Amino acid sequence: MSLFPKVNMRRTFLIARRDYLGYVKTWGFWISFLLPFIFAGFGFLMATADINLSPTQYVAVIDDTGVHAERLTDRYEEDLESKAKSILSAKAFFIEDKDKRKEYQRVLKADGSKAAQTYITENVPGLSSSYSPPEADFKLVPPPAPDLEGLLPYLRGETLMSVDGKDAQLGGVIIFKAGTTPEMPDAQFWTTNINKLDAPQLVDKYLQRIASTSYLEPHGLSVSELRRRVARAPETTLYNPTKTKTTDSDQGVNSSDTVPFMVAAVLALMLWLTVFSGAYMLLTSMLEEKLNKLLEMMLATTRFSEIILGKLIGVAALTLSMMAPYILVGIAGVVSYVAFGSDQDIVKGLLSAFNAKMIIFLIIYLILGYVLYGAFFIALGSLSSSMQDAQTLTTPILFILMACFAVIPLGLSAPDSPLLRIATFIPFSAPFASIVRLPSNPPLWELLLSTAFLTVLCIGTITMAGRIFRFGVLSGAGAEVVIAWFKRVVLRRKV
Amino acid sequence: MMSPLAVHSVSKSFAGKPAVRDVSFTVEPGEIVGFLGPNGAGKTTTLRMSLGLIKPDSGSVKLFGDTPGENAFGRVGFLPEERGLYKKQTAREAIAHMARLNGVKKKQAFTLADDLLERYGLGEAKRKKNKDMSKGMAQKVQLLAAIAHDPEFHILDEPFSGLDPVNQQVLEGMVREIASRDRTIIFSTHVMEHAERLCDRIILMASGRKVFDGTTKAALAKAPRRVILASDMDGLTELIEPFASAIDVQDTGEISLTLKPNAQAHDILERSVAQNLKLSKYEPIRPTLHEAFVTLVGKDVTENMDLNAGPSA
Repeated sequence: MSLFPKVNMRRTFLIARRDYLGYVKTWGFWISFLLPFIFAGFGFLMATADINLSPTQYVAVIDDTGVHAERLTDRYEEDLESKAKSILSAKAFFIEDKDKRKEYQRVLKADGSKAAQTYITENVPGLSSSYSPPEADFKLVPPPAPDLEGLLPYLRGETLMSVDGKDAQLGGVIIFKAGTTPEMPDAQFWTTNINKLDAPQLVDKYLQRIASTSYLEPHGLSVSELRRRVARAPETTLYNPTKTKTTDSDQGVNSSDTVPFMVAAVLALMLWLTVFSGAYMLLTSMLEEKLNKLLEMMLATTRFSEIILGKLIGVAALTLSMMAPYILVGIAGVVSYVAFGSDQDIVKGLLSAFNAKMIIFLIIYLILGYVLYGAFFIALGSLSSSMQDAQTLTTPILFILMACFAVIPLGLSAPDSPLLRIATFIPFSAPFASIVRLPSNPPLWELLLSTAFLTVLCIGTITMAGRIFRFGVLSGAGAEVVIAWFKRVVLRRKV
Repeated sequence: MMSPLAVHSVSKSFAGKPAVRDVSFTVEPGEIVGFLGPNGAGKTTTLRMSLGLIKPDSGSVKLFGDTPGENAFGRVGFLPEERGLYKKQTAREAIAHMARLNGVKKKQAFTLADDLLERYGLGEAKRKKNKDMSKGMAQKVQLLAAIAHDPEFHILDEPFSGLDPVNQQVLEGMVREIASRDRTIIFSTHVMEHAERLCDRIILMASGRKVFDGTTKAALAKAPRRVILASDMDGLTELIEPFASAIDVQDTGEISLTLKPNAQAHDILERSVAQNLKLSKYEPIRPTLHEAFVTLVGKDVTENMDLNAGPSA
């Protein structure tokens, strides 16, 4: 008996084609296919239409102490500056010259957003135009009434106030009252929108600052000097002793070393998504076939193996078609960064991430992972007589698949984890664990052994799926039939 | 010429329950064979074993002289009992798809689909999606999908079930048309009238066993022969007693007489003339396959079966 069943490729192709076109002709396919473009279009529309998703909240301050309102305004400006710095820090990514990039980062950290913008204008003019200051989460405005009682109609929206010549509702009122110590006030925040907490959070930060100041300054220590020194503290330089020294680089770690790990995690994630969506589509396709009651008729003219293989190929093509926009955008992104990207460390990292070993194993694990889970889902689909049955029967295998997802972040945070190594040899998790381990160069024998285990389980699963399929298709099926079959065929009990 | 189907002593049990017990029969080329029996008689299981979809526990099946399987692909047209179509396919796509699986080339498959749909009155629905068709139309489309590649041997499992009388007649016409091209047909049904009208030969099944295999005429000969009699004069019961194996006096006063095996209906007529007993009603009843079946398996068995004497189609 041959290990591989006989297959007529013409009939297999016809079954694959029908399955593929059956889905491609649905609205659902096209919505999924176009989703990335729809999202991109929506994002572009929102950006160009300048639609503010979160309207500005206007907040007034009533200060019974007479000192905190002004200081809070300073703290508010400080917060805006911090936001501006965080936005401007992303510009470093686009500065090609390594020394200029370092200097820009230093200027931004030490001298602030305005100095950093000036630096860009003078030294990297091509980047100077693409910056707009951050929007504030709320704006401090003068109170339209002197006390809380007078402000309540404004807070409730019964009366509107005028801001820059336009009518606006008062969103909140901060009230400072004398506290238990002269320097520390009691603070209240009045608002009808209890879920928007940007203003009270700023007040909390302000009060924490007072707590620091009141502790340090009596001892002659300045809070602002402390912050300045913290900002200027040097950062640890990472070194990797396994990295090969070259004439122009030491063993210091940079983006070229970390990018492959990130790429591997993204690829493992894509692999997981492909396997998950493909296997699930196989389940629904199988169930549709069973509910349509066409299989019996097809079996008079087609082998079981051709139906299973046809479905696997058809749904694989379908899954790849659905993933195509994401894959193409990803490839285009990588290729364009390699061609035009400014940071050569990232370019180097990308080139080393997409090496021949990664591509070969990615293809092997994509095929084996899909076939393994796909065969399980086909078998379970053929045993189901309703969607409820399918959900009940696939729950254990879905749990396994979800558990395998957990190895992906492990590849980033702990690539040397024993758990990850064990997962490489468990066929269910092997595709994902092996891919995330590839950048840390695991021994080749481990990868080959893992592939061998996975291949053996794939063959076993397909054989078992064929038998279950044969049984499931011609029986009424349902979960209770599965239990009876298991007792009879596997446990060899009389039912 | 080789028999399209030869079944030898096949038995099959499911979960310990026997579904088919020691069944043997042969279908010869060009025959229309009716495979009859009530629901649960083992007809579908036998047909599935004939195609190799289920392996028998014992016995053997030869399809075109070989083990059922790939050698028969394209030579058999199978309409299963459980029917359906891909909901989003059109009628012509469904027929062409099955024809292509049976080896017909793409262009020819679509031409065939269009021709068949036109011929059987579904021309206007050929681009209609299966989900939008009536049950009768969908059933006809599936039958056309099963026969589009013009197979030598047709296995039709309960082809008439679920059809209204008009469509049953259309289907009978289709079966006759297939038979007129010297094709071999075996179809299962639990409605005896279809078999009576269409079949050269019938196989009767009950409780998984074959209880009769022969011509329709031979099967009808097994049925009790009955005569309905009535007379305004006294003495009718005494007159018919020598010929009767059973006498049933109905509420209307009419007598339903079941003839003894050696008695003939005209004997009663001759004796009533001889005895000057005037008959107001003399109606020999034509035996039916249903009655033959009841005789063959016994009334006790048939009372527990879903056996349909059937609406006439």
